[in-house]
Amino acid sequence: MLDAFANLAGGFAVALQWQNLLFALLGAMMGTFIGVLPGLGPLTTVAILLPVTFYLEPVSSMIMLAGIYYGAQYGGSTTAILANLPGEATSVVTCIDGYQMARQGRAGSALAIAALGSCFAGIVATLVIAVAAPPLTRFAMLFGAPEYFSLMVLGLVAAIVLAQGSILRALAMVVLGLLIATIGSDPQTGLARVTFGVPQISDGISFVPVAMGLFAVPELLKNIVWPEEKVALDARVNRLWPTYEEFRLAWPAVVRGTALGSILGILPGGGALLSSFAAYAVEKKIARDPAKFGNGAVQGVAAPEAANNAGAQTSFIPLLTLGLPGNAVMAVMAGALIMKGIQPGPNVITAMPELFWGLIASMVVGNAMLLVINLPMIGLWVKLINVPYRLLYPSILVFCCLGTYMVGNSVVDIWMLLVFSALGCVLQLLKFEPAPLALSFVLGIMMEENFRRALQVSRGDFMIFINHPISAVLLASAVALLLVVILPGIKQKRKEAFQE
Amino acid sequence: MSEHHGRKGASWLSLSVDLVAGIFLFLAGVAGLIATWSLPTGTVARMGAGFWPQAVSLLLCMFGVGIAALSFTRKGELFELPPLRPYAAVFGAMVLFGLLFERIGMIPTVIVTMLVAGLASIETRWVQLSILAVVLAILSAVAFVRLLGLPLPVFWWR
Repeated sequence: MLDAFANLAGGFAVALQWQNLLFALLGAMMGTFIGVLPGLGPLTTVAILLPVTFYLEPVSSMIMLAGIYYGAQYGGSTTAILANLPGEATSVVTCIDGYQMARQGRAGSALAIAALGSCFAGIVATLVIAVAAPPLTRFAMLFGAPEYFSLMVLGLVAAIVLAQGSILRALAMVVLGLLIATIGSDPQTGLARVTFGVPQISDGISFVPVAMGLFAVPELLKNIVWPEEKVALDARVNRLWPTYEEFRLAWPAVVRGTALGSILGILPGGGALLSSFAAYAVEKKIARDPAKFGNGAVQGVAAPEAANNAGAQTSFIPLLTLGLPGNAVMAVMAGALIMKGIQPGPNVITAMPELFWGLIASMVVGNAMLLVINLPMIGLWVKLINVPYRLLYPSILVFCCLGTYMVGNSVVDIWMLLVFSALGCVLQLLKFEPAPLALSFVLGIMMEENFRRALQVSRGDFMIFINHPISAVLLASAVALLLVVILPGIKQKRKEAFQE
Repeated sequence: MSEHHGRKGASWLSLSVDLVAGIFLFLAGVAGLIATWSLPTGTVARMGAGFWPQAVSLLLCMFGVGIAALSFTRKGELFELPPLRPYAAVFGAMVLFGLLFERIGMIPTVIVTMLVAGLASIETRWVQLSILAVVLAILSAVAFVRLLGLPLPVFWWR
């Protein structure tokens, strides 16, 4: 425990260096800026801004990406409250009561509560990471090839089960991602394979065009072809400070939301989405007057906002300790680290303590910054929400192209962007979710490598995955999770939970 | 659905989404098998470069067959082709970006890309978009080439 604080202090020394402060600030600002724009959720925002961080030192680039991530999340809450437009699924619940509050003239209160709640949750979640990460890392150090393979199987399965949508289709996406990951080179011999004679992809496909092609471009086309009803926005934000009564109702909800979000965020597939939904459901269940929910209940904003921020932050734990990205945003983060030549996993904390602890400390700094920059600038964000999409989408497209080109200074990446945009659009038309594909694309090579190494050690005996106790437990958990969702009774429950 | 674009996307031979999805996955698996056919498979104990990708491709084919087969047991949505124009415009803009960037430089490419992308939406106002395109082109040249000092071509002569 004391260790954690000493480490955290070291982290602050990194995070408070002026250039890192600057990058955290820049990231949070840019994240909010893009996140507020209609139709751009945190995932798309992180994907689009990924190239911006490419030329930075690893520590600074992670700090900036993290800033972009929670900035975008905060921007999403702003649009949810002011315009009933959830940038991404994580802000869907905030719309319910936040928008009602705005319509009653309490937009300022809702925004302030969302910001204060997120900030509190962010700080608590950071402490959770500081305490929970080192033991998990030590545990992960015991892992050999079979354990790693089983861990990744469990991670992928859990990510699917806890997310929305058809399990079978999500599994199919995982497999497709594994196949695409094999493009590049054989992990054991390093020889080129499946490169179709293109030398530029013999080190594997760059993650930037994949992320943009799968997420940004299809999203953009969706918004053109099937535009969402836009509410005429007349949110004058007159008073920013909540009333005493609102405070009294909000703070216990914030604490509950933070607790729930911190725990759910650690689970693979958990993260911000599950946390916010669960927190809203809990508040509605325990409220003395549930009828208020949906009509501007303060708790309905406070709890999910705290939970999604806590969850967003603790979802870094599996990535930084086990090397396992739990959701698509973390997959992008993992992609960014790999592009820097850093393999996310238990070695990060010992080999690069300044990266690990600096990133964590910067989260506290960034959350405080969000509060300070964003509340006074709310007027600007309101203006941004009103930017018409007809001007926005050509600009986004150009930035996707420019960003993709700049990562490798090569047109080949533009053709990759084209290929993956086409794939993304086909998947969208066929109603597939691209998130599981992104996860398994990031994990693919590691999974293959560990699979092959395990079977080499056992001379081809598949029992190695079961004879190693940790591996067996991990695989059994994966199977149990799958069975749980496939069995009909629970399937129904899961549906209900997501509809709520 | 797409009232916005004046007409409903054409329903395609009344195939269900699930069936088309299954066929797509199956074909992707077959493509994977063809692409990795010449790679050495090896044995389970000593896998070659082809073992894992071939196994994954086979698995993908199986998922494809499974999802296609399930489509016959339940009535799902029908597969619809979306209106073509937005897709053509967005992909056309990206192709042009790739073809032009290194030849005529950043400023003209950004302008061309944005204007072609503008064809995607029927709401585009051309004067507005042209002004934005010129402004963004100059701004990105200033930001990336001047301030960040990246060695990118600005025009075809420099």
